[in-house]
Amino acid sequence: MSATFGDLALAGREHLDFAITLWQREPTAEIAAGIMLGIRHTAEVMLHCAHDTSAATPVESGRGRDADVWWRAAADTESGLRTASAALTEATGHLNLARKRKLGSAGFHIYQAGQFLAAARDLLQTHRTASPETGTMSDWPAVFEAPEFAGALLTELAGWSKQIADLFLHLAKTDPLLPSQSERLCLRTYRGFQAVVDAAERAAARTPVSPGAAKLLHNMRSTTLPARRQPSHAEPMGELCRQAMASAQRIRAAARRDAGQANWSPAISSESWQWMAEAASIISHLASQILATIGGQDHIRHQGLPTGQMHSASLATASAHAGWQQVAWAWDAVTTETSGLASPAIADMTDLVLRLGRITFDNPLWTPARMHRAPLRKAADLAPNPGELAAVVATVHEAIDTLACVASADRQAVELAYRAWRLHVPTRCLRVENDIPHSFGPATNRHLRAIQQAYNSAVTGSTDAAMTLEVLVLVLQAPSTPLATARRLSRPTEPVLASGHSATGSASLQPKDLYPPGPTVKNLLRLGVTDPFELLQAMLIDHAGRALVDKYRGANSKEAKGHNRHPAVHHGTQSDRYQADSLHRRPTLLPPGKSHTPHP
Amino acid sequence: MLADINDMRDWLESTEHIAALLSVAWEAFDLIRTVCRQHETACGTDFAAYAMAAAAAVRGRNIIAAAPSIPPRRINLAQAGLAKKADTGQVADALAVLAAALSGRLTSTVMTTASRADEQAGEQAATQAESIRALLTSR
Repeated sequence: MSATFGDLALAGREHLDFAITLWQREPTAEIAAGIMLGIRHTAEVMLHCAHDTSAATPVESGRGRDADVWWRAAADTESGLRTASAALTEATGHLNLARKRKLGSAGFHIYQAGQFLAAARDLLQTHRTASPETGTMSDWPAVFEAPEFAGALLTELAGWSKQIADLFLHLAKTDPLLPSQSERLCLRTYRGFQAVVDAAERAAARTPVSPGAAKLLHNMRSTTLPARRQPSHAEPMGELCRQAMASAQRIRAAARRDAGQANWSPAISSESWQWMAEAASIISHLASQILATIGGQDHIRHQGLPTGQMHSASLATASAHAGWQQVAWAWDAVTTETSGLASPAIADMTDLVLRLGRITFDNPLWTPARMHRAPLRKAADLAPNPGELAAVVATVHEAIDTLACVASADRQAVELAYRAWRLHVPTRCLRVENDIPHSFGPATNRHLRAIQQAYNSAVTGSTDAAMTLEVLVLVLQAPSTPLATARRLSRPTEPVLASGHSATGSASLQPKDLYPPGPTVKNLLRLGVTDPFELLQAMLIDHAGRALVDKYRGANSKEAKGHNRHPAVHHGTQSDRYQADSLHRRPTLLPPGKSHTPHP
Repeated sequence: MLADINDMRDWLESTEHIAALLSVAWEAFDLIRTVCRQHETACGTDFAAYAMAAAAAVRGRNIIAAAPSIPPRRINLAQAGLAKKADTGQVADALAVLAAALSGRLTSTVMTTASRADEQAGEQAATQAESIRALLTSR
């Protein structure tokens, strides 16, 4: 298990404490000189950390003045540390310490503190930049633009500054080594560190940092992806959950990486996209069944979790399932010039499907094949205690969050592929009247729009479901709490309807309120129906009824039409218009990899 | 529904010539896709099998569409019976049998063709048919 930011920061602070103890035990000029040099190094590292934070300030945060106080604090922190660092450099020059080779024990510990802080900064940097080996980006770069997260980091720096400022003040007062000119520099150094403390205290007084943000910072690990472990044998529940979450993390990384390669990579094909969509619809289906099963358990009420919350999550995942089905269906009619299931994410997606299926069904060797079908696991078997309940909910949350990332990344990738003329239509799928003398023709705008609409549904459905699950995860303090916190921190307060989970991993859609329960839903609930798909259908029936009534009241008719679209994509209407659309757009292009039969 | 699937199987079994076989194979894959799509929402615990089978059918269909010897035009099929849904278990079994027949016919007939490209397409499509059979068979 790799170290977290908190582990490294804590180790650094322990070195600082130890250095102070050493100084108090033996306040000699020799030790003071070592301490000055150690502090100079540490102050430079702190300055880099502060600069990283202030550089992440969004041009327009859009979160109101209260949120902006942390960005102002970041600028003040950087300024304070710059002052301290410059004064320290000058002071060590005056004291002729630059040539000093031995730091002494106290100076060594302060230097080590700086080294640990540098390692913690490097860990954060792995989330800000793409890995040079794999080209993958972290899940969380957007979190660095969250003022609360910046606040957590600045609070940590303020803690360090306070420790160093106290030590420095003590040093300046008692050190017999300091000439009067150096005393002035020491005072400037002290004021620089104190400015960092003041900036954080001022900002915290207006917008306190939530414990969640601080915990997220301290729990952050480097972006190293967990190794793939294929589900080769029957695994216990804990292992299934752990490995499923690891697969989810790997899929998110692969989806982000692949999205930018869709215009040229032969490994990214329509068949890969369709397979991923089918797998996503299976995952959301399984997730919905898991949540419906554990929603019926009595003991979850004792964990501060209302049963309604679990129910909402189950319905939201059912809605995500419908969105992914649309995507899978949309790919029936469109292809690319390359084929096959070569996308790197497919192996991990297969693992995730298998493990989630083995959590859902009472068969440790479950596969999608009918011959391995099994009854659903009983609630008592699925989550017999709070720990396992939290693990299962975290697994579902990670899986659904991954689907939101994949939907967003694939939507972007499809657009790229279309612009690179990679999307084609098998002409045999078109009507006989469309007399095209090739096996494949170029996909038109209409095809692209159909696919994009389907992806939009998948993005919205999956993001809503992930956001609903975040609430459960945070209440249960489930293992995916850092991910849930990161997503919530990186989401603007104002709804941004144009994008969901961005390709860099942040969710920005606001939760779409599920329709309020109408008479059909209430009747089904009264009859004891808990199946999320039945309830979703009932909800849509109620909504359609309300919309119909509204229509005749002369209100809200437009909205009603938009909401009640069935997942099915009608390819017939597209092919009707295919030829005219295609001829207007560009001349027929043959995919290089596909052979074709000339028209007789 | 079941009659349509069985008719398709009979038609496949009785087709000899490579061009006709590819044409019928294309229709068979498309029938599997359509039937899977129609039944996947109603099949409960078998959803995963139906969804993956539909995707495999699309792959098989696209592979066949790229084979050099396939006639450019589709055969006009009356698919009126497809509107009716049937028992999902029976449908899955019938589709598994059709996929097995498809795999067998593609493997045996395409081997005898002169064109390497047809042979490759037949082999790849047979693999997809075999995966559909493995997904949908209950035994």
